Amino acid sequence: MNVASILWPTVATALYVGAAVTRSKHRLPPLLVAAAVLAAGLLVLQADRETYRAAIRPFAWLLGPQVVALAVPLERERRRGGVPPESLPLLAGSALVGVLATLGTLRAFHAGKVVERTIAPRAATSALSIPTASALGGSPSLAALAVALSGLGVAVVGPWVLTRLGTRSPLARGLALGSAGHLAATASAYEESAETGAAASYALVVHGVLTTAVVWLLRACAVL
Amino acid sequence: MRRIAVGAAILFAFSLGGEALLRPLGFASGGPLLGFFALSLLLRSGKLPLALVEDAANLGVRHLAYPIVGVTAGAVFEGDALADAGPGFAAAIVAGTLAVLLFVALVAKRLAR
Repeated sequence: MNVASILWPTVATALYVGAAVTRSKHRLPPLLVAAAVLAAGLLVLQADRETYRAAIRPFAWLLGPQVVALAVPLERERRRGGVPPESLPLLAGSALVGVLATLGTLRAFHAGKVVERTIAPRAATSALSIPTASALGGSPSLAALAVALSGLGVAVVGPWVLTRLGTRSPLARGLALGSAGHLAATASAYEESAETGAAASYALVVHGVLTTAVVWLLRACAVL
Repeated sequence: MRRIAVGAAILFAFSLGGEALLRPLGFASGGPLLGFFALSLLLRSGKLPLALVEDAANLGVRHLAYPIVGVTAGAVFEGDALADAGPGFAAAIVAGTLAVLLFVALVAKRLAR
């Protein structure tokens, strides 16, 4: 075991805890603050890419139980009667729209099949999109980057965009944040309210599954 | 503290159980999702009391972003891959994300009326 395998997870944890505890002062998502400071540290210290990747791999073990944990707020919301059945066709439509908009843009830029297979599943949460991209012959590292960028983007500007659109219902805000911005934006949704967070959790899971299904369907039809 | 430990053990078990079931079938992903659906069914049927996993799940959900801090910061190493992917990469992320955000927000807003 080398120093890096303890150093980077410890630094990442300390930065996240620090950013979460001081949230009321800086008002930025803890993920954004912690990741930005950590990224700056990696660049300044010229960290080795493979050593860093190996060091942060244990964090991936937490993603699975966290996806499972989303069943709890959903069940609570179901008992409360919060998420209406119309949400399912809405999320099916959004999964299709998301994949087609992504593929259409990539084709307009002549990005190539590997990039298409990497980014097409991007609209699903990282626990789904990274292995899907890998299984399709795409790049897992670029898939991780695509998910992180879209998640962070929605976590930071999503609530503002929704407010500008006049979307004030916690249900609508939660569904939009969870489906467009994955885990990072779902975390933001929970900061708005428990109701928004529960809707975002529902959207995160349902939209993720449907996006993966759409991608495999397009692959089966030789579109991808 | 004991309730959180018990709940966390249950959540891990569902995640690992999902992976153990799907891997022999050749599915590279989806184990945690299978665990999610299994836990949802058990909670819905009342066979597993919500209180048993609630504290651990609340903690996990409150800190959903924690496990992705490292991989997000690691994006600084993807400069070359990003340059190879070209401007289409950034444009596709923006277009795909905005399309979903606007579609869901506008349709859900109408449904909420």
